[in-house]
Amino acid sequence: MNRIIFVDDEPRLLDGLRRSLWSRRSQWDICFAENGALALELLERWPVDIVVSDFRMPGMDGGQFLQEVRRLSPDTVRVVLSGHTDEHDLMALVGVAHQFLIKPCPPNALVNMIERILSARAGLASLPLRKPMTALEALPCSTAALEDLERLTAGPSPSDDELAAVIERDVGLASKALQLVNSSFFAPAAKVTSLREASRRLGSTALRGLSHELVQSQSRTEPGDDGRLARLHSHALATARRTRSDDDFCAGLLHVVGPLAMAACSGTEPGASTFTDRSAAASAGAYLFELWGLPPEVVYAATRQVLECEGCSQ
Amino acid sequence: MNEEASRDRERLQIERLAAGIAHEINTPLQYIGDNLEFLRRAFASLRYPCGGEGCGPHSERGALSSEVPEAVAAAREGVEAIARIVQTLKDGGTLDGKGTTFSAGLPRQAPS
Repeated sequence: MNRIIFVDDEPRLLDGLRRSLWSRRSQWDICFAENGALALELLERWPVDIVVSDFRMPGMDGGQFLQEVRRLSPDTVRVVLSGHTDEHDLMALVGVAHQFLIKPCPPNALVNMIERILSARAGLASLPLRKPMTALEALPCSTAALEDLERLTAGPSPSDDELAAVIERDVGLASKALQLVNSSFFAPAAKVTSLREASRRLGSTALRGLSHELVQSQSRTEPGDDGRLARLHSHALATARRTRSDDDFCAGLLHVVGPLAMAACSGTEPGASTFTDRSAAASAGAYLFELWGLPPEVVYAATRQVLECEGCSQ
Repeated sequence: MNEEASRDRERLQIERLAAGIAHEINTPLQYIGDNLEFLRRAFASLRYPCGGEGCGPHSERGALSSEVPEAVAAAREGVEAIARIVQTLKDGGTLDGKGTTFSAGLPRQAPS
């Protein structure tokens, strides 16, 4: 049975979640913990598919807790459900959380998110592949793009177009921006596939924080280094620039996410490097898109594209 | 004091206050909504016993109905918690969030 842990220091909130998920209790093993330490004890004992945690808690906060989850149980999906998240909090979570929900989150939205993640996990049953994908904090970004973004956001009010022009040059940056903007903190309603719209919603301050976090925490693609990561990046850009709509541009850019993530993990995870075929790369990419809550049309188009793509295997 | 600096400070204060209120109120809002959702489904199962939540073994229905009074009480507590927060703000008091103190003392309009 799939196991999910909810963590919040307010017991009434946990009771409310238990009742609103009543109809799922025969399908899911749902556990509740009033602090991070208790949740980590559960994680050490049993495999857990998803943790959903508050951010502001006495003692260990949500960011520290999710870091520990990632270390102890890399195959567990990490979600934040927070009452208030400012840009500073968000930056503490940007690498470690897969999705960011805000309270009050409608019960059906929570259930849909959980179902989407569980079905993606069932679709990527191979643990040697799924574990490094779930543990992944961010895709490698190019140093040049991160520096450009930092320089641009340090200046006086850059326009949305200027911001989008930097973000769309880098798959790591673009995918992180879309992941953030499609979480409910920034996008309460419609799903976003345009990088210009993503820039507008995130704003210069959040993007500055993002580039700062990625510079500190990231493996990067240096010009002239190993070659595979840089090749995938320029192949993604060339593919995206041949398209006309926002959805297609996104799909073109993101279709290399699977191959890129596998290449990024191959150094640290020897098991992952054996999966070099296209369908494994497509499954890895599709899995990450679902963890990030990207719009289904982009998930579908990008996944189909990588299956047919010659450029990705070079 | 420089007028711009004082406006900036005022804006910052309001932003912090808004963040504090959001944080304090959103937790009870979450559990009020969750308990109401539970009650909605529990009620549906009373009306349509074989299509709703209570469909299944007798013990399931027993467990469900024993949760109902607790769900009602929890939702009421949530409403009271929000009312308390609003009252505190009206009285010009402070909200003690989780480890953070939010000053509710808003800058008053200068007399014209």
